Amino acid sequence: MSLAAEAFVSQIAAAEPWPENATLYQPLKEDQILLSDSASSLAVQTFLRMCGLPVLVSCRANAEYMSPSGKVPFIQVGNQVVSELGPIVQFTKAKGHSLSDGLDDVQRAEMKAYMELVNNMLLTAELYIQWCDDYTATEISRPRYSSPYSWPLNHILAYQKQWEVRRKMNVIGWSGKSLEQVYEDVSQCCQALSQRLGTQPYFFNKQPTELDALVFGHLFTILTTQLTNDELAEKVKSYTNLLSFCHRIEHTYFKDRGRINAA
Amino acid sequence: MCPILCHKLLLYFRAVSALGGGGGSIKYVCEKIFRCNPHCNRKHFHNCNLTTHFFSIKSKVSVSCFHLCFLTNICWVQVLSWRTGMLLDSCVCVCVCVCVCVCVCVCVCVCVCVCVCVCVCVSMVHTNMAEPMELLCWGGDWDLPSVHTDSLIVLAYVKFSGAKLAVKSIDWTWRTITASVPQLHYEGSTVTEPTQILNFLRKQRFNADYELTAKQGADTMAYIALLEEKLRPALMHTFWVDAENYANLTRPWFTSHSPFPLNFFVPGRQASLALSRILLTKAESPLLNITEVEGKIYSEAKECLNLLSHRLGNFHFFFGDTPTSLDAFVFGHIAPLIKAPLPSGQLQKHLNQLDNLCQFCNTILKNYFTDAPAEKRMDCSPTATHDPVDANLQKLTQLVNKESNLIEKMDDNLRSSPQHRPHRHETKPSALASERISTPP
Repeated sequence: MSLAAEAFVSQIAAAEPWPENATLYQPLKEDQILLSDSASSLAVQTFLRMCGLPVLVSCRANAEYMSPSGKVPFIQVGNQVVSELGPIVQFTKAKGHSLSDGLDDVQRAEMKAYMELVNNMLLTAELYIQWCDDYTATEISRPRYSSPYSWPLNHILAYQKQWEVRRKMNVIGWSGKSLEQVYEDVSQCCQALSQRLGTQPYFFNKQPTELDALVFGHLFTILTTQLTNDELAEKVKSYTNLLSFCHRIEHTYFKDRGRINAA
Repeated sequence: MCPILCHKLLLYFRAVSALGGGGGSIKYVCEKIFRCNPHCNRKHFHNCNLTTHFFSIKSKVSVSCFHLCFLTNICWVQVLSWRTGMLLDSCVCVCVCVCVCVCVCVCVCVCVCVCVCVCVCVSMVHTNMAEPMELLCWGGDWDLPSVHTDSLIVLAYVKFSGAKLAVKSIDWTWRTITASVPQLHYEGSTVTEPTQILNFLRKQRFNADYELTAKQGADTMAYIALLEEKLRPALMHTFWVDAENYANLTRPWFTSHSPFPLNFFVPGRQASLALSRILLTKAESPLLNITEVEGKIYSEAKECLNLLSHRLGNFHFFFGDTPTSLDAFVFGHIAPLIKAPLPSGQLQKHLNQLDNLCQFCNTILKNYFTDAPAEKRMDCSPTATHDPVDANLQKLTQLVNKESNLIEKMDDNLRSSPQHRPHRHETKPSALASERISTPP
């Protein structure tokens, strides 16, 4: 949205406290949701738990179309709808809850840089593997994406989504990459995250931030999702401090709900 | 002629002619040989006669085959010389002439084999001699070595790491539309994309990130991702999509630097690529209009510039006192924005308010891209603990420099051939000369 609209929304957001019935919408967990959407959704859920804000998770088949930006997940808070982690972080900040207040300017710059790294590398790699790798697209992505719909709509929607993602990959220069190169990129990204994390409990020492939520969302989903082969999960598993990081966050923030069922 | 040699030649011709063609010439040659040598065995002559008689039926075909193969050889030599970048120099010409003479007397297949072998040998010799790397990039203007962001990134890294390579501008050539710039050529392989080129240079021991810790290396990756996601869309919009800038600055510049008739296509193509990239990556589905996306991308770009400025602080470079690949990336992105005379540049105005980034850009330009043999190192107190590492690195750098001096001499010899336009990058020899003096600590 434009800057003026954003400022307006922030104003309205600041007026009311966080309600009890805030809802997060995502595609159907068992049948429909894909790796990238599941990762984003888990990141948002983790962030809200880290802030201590209650949210109900509701699965809808048409969540993507309900979303104001076309991307899942999105949250409905009162009479406002916000989608994607970036705007949700700003929205919660307007309501007075923030995880990154204690950071100075340099650290905030680093945090944003690392969030962009995760979006640029991990998320793009997930999209590539889902939609540009023919075998995965045929076996997993297209059937799952179109499972709530009947013929012929399921074919049309699935191919339309695939075409859209492939166009985007083309434009950012990823269409020329092979699957091995993508795995290599994921490995490098994980190496960078691992080196940044070091032996600390969180990325910015004692307190978790939205970066921790984002990294956890992606890594946990990669580790627990069954794809056509295990290579992606193996790449992540080779970094032990990232594994322990995931366990720690799962144990701290999700123990009351039992183990998270990732798709 | 010795009868044994004669006999051997006959067997050879027979074997070779079995491959086809050239029957007429073989018969002639055989007759010539045997008239000179009456002591030759009649039996051998008889055998040869039968063979040549058999193949003389195809003599008409053989003549046309000969012509075809001759032309093919010429084309092959031409193609090979074009591919390897050399022109038909004298030794290749001589070889071709020799092959032609041989063709007249011997079977066509032999001449093909000989030509192929000669050309391959010659090209291999030349390739082994043509060691230096070659970089293709857009030309420079507005006090910059190049106006193209990706080319600037690679050029800056080359200067920081002390790599020796020949920089070739693609202005006014057909490569403006065929090549994806920047492009590095080395020993027949081609590398594109700045990140790939930087990885390649690191593998060739030209590493400007030698002294970074693991965490700093991770930070480098993160900041590069930040630049790509937040700053690049706004840069592309400023130069290629904003109507005033495009019409008054970008399009005239690229039009004047492309050959006819490409000057009609090159700017338009780049502009449409830029627009589609912005729309596909930044515009969410309801916001398919570019004007609504503008506000978002410019605010993100300004935030990104602020973050970079915070990170740089009062230092000369992002990681201490020596420039690294992150400095190259940041320089490549912000230098065109600072230096280009944009008619409408809100982002430029914002950037001009960030003094440390402007200072950073000017420092790099002054120290690495001018001819002045001034002191390269910023004033830094050399720490005593780095001395052993310094000494080893100095020795290594000196060895590398010696090697590359030799290569440069060979390169000079090769490039003094008249066909090559003497298009060396002006700042290269002296800047590199002064670069040799200062070694990274």
